Amino acid sequence: MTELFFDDIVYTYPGVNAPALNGLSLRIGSGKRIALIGRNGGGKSTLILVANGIIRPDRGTLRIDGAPVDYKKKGIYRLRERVGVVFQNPEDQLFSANVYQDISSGPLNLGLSIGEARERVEEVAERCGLTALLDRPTHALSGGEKTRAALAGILAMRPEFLFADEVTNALDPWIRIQVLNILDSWAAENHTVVLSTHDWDLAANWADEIVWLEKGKIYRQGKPEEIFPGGTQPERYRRDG
Amino acid sequence: MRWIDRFAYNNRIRRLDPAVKAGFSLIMILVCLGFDRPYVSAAALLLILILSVSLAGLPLRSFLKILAGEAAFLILSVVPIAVSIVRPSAAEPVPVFPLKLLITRDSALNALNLLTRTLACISAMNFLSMTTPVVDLIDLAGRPRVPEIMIDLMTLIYRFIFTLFDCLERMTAAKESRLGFRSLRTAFRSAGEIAANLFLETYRRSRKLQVSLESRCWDGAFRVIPQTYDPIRSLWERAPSRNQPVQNRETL
Repeated sequence: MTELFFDDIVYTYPGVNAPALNGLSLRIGSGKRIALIGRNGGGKSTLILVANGIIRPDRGTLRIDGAPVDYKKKGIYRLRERVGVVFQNPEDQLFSANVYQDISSGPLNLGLSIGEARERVEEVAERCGLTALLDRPTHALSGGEKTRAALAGILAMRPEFLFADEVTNALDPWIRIQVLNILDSWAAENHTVVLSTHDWDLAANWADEIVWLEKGKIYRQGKPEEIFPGGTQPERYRRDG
Repeated sequence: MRWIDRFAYNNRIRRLDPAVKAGFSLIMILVCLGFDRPYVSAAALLLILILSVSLAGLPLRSFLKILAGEAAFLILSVVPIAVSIVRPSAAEPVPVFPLKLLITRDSALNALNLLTRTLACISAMNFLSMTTPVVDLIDLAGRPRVPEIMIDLMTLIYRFIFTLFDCLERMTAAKESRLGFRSLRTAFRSAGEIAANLFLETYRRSRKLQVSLESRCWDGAFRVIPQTYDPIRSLWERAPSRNQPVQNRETL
């Protein structure tokens, strides 16, 4: 069974005293929809960067299928083939002049042929509702279209673990539903989707499992009804974690 | 720039191979420079104008508006060529105004020649930029094996010019909302702060872009699928009707 295991991870950003991740241990199995929640600075984004190998922990080990991640160039590429990340601001991810070329970048980086890359681009464009926008310059897309294009760029690499860092923020309800449908369709194909969000209602209604991070550690973990037994109103829960 | 970009994505020969359009523009420029006659340049200018409107479907008014802006600069430059300043000779009585402006036939012809030639060359470049998106031009630049680093830089500069514009607009609006341009003094201070913030924002964005590229297995080279285009024969195989509207003008 495919598994991503954060084993006692500690990471402190340079120039900061408090660790962003402080002995965090978390197992993520396959085919699940997991919501990461927690206050700003709780460690959600840092966890996502560790998952993708962007950040190397100061202590602890990231394991994929039981084997520790090799942080040399080839090992990192192998990790990134399997773990994809969609960042909060799509503006920071779209680098190409048009949507087609931007989506094609990931598959070509994996070493696929142009023909195979084309197939993947067309497949994810259809999944993400971007077929009519493939020729569009990336700077001319709306916010929702940019989010879907950034998501498509990662899905084209077919990651087994997809981490989405607050991608539903600042989207209107209709676009948010579209984005969630894309994430659901990916999870339905036995992939794992980890969505970081501040929206407790979304987390409770969408996720199979919720991981609540506070001060770089897991504060609570479980099914939505276990995490929010009394509903999702923030007043019902301690603010200090 | 956004205006030109909009035309480039919404014209009837958008899908035509950029090599054909660039080749046409180059030939027009070489003809104008090679023959160096005002009537040749005027004919080239007219041909470009006709093709831009009838073949590419560009609005005549917009094409002329862009050309007029460029012509204004050119006219300022050719006036000193047409007009000479002469001093009266010693035999003449001292006039009230001691300098005379003189336009000779040769100088007028020289100025006219330069003006028409430059206008024709510029309109050839306008034709290319208004019918060919930058992504196609970058793709074209890659064909004669322009170094990869140049292509990557062109891609990034084009992509982030618009991001920078958006950022600038937001910062300016934020300053305006707090009366940042109320007086000359506050305007100078606001402009300085915007410039400094813009620099920091650019740096922050570049760091984020690098992280997101690395997450997609980027190893220093931007790999993208090359574009596909219509060959030149598509011009007569699927000749667009003169009355056919340009598609999706409002999509950008």
